[in-house]
Amino acid sequence: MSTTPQALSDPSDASASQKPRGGVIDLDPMTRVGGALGVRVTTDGTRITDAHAAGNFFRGYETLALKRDLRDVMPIVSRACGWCGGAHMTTASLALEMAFEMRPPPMAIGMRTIAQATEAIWVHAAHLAVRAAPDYCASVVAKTTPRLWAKARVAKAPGASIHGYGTIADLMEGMTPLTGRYWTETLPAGRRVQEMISMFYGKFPHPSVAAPGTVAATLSWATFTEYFTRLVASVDYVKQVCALWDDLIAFLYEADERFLTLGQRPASFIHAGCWDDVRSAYTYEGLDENGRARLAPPGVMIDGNIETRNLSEVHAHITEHVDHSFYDIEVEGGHDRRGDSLPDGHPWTQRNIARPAQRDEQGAYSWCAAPRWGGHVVESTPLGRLWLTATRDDFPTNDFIEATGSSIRILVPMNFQPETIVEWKIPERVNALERLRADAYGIAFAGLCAAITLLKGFELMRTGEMEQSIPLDIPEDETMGVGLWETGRGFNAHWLRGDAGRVTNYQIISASTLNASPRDADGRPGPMEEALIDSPIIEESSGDELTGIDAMRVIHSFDPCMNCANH
Amino acid sequence: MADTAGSRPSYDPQDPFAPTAVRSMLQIPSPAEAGLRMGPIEKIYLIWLAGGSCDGCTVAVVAATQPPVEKLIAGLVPGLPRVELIHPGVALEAGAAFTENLAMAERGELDAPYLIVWEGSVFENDSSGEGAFYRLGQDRDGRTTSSTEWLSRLAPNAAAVVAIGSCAAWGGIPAAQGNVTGSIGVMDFLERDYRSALGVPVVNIPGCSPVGDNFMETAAGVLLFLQGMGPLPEFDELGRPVWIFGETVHRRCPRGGYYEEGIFAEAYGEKECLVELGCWGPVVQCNISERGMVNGIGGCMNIGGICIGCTMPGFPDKFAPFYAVPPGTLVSATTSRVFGGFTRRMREVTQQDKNITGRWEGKDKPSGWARFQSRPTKSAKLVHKLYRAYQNTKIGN
Repeated sequence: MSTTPQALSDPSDASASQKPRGGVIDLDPMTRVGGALGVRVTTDGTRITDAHAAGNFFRGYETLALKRDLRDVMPIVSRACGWCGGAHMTTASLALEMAFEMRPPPMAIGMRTIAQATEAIWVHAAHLAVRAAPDYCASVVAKTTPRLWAKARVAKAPGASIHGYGTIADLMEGMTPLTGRYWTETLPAGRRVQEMISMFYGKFPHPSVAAPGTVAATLSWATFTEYFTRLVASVDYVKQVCALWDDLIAFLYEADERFLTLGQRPASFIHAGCWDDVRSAYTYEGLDENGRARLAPPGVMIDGNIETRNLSEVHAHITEHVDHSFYDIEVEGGHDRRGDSLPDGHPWTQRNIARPAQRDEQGAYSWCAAPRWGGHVVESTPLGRLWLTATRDDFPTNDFIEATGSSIRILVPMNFQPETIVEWKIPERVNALERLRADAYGIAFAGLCAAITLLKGFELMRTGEMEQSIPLDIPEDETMGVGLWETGRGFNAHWLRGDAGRVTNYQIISASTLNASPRDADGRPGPMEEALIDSPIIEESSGDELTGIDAMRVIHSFDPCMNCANH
Repeated sequence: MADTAGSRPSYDPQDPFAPTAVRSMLQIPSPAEAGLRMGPIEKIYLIWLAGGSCDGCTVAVVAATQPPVEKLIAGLVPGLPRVELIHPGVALEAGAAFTENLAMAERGELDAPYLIVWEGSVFENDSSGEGAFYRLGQDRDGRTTSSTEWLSRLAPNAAAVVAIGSCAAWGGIPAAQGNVTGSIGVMDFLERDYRSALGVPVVNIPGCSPVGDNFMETAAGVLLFLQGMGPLPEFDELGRPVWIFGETVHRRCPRGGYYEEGIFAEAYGEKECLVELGCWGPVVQCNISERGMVNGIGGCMNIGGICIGCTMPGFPDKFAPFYAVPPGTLVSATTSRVFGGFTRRMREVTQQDKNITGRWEGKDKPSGWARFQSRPTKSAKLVHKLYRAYQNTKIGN
């Protein structure tokens, strides 16, 4: 993280000369992210003035899917990401179900929802402990913000009785990578979650038991009970993680109010929703109905206003730009499944052709494309998911989760620690720390969504609705499908075109494609770049060297996964 | 690399953002760790690099328990050296400080030997300067470096190069039909004559993703050998650990017995043998059916998934279309239907006899669970009698 002095165009600019720490911070390679990312930020010493996020690698999954047997896209494209391969496989399955006009049996949908909610638990938990928490660990805080560290050492942690850290400094010690208690406790806890996913999806990463419209796991009483015992064994971890992040965030806001604006951007989100009800059907005509029945709802919010909750509208206005990415565009078709026309740049109407080049911030600089919704810059993170959930009035009746309009109340059952209601409240602003808090509460939300569906699974077993698969009938002629779903991080969609049983076009947009996107056709920065620009430099380091910790905190709050993003 | 000492950046070992290797040199083993030391090697660097990867192998290794990664990096596994992990997924430092770890390894400045673990395919022509498929930092002169370039620079002096996952071992999915990145496997890239500093060719742990413990166990086995404790692990002609990949999935499959008796699942979710749904288990070399995926839980056919051959060099194209029945099944499954079907019926007759105590012979069973009482037919009784008479001739024999 070298810092080079910024060339000042006007030497008489007194305010600039007082800020010797300004310059370019090159976080390339950026570490603790999925895949390869390089971020370059410019600072004037008090805030970040410019930022470019570059997806640094590419494998060509959209091309690798071409000409294959339509059914094979599930095991092929799911391998684009090792963190959320199950989500990609499920998304591909939905695209095929639409294309083949299949309706999976309730048990298959239930098993899918359980496996997928569990995968979200894993993604949230691993992200928080392994990628995000080290930015707040003792050695980093002491080195970059000694005054903050002094306060942390004397600040009592209000949730000590839950998470076991007496002071905020203890908590920060726990966040030390590789050796801290939080880090080392998360690995075995995460392993248990990996076991839970494997029970339904066979294998994690890269599930081996899914086929279009089908979850092939051989079910027995043992499947549900073994899953159930592990879920119960995980509930205390959930309480601890919520309390731990609440304490850290409250302390940071109190100790230095600049944390309020760290990584701030408008409350503009896009979500496709996920975790289907066992009775739902996934069709192009019925997208809205399907979306409403999802436990995590679809929707688009622009500047805090909900633009739509209809999944069909979430889908219809997506466009993808490659003006600053290493791709050329080939246009192909301009209509959707019904024959209605789609906007220019919609993923069903084009394909991206790789065009490797040197990084050039005026021209192409990223392997990530730039998706937008109706021209708006939108992020997709657990924060948006919880926000859209809290404000919905149609959350399915259940025993654990309540959406109040301004918060989500989640009942986390008893284990060694007592039954606890954790409440996530809509924050006043969208910033780095609120994204992390949503990740923590996202564990509770996903876990109890899995529990809700597990109870439905038991009910299906009692009533004998045990079918898990339906026969495949592959259309001979041209066909189209779109899978709209979510990974733990957020939005995930696959667009498929096929002919004579083979793939003719495949397009993927995931949460990190949105979040880590470069500038678009109009030169507007992507959400992560937007959050970085104008974000404060809180680091107190003396001398003229900045470590870039403030930028790192903003970047990690998006949990960027360039495997998904660039594919 | 021509390097002048003066141009090297200096790092403070106390700085949390200094390269891992710089910080590591100050680290003193904890008393617990020192007490567990049993061989000449105290520490080894594990440099984890990636090409056309999905991080899935990393995720799989996190799930390993033999030993778990958090114990290995804390140096708390008896007999094994502490593993100093240099992995972009966990490193605290970013940017030039991260790539400095690699530069230090290249210059021979590490205070312990280093292993390279490579995840994902290798982008063969990724040093051309025309734009890379995997950019990994910059050299001191400002030139962009690719991860492929770092592999060529670090492989000659590595203690060993381990290719984890099928992409690294054989090329995998990025190297399949539609390969636009020039993806190949590590062996293809380093070529046949490659030997590590310890004289070892590339070690391959295939699988998409591999079972995490297959990697951990092999790594631990190699380290125990280097410590003078364990035997030399055995590898096959493709550099795979023999005890893991020497047998087929089918030989260890929990559903193999169904195949023997000629019973096949007709729909997903059924409990029988999966070959007629497209399972390639009978020819694929893998141990997941025995080991499971995470801590003994999961696994493809253990749970209900067909084998799509993800550990094999021919994956994916030679196994596609995945959901069609493998052609060889026509002969083998028919054979097993005919002979296995006969064997199964004979076994059912014997099993019926073994479900009756001596007291119940010729009577109803005393179980309240029995809704109706099935008694052996006369011919079955005769078979039982003959069977037991023959069984009794073995007494003392």
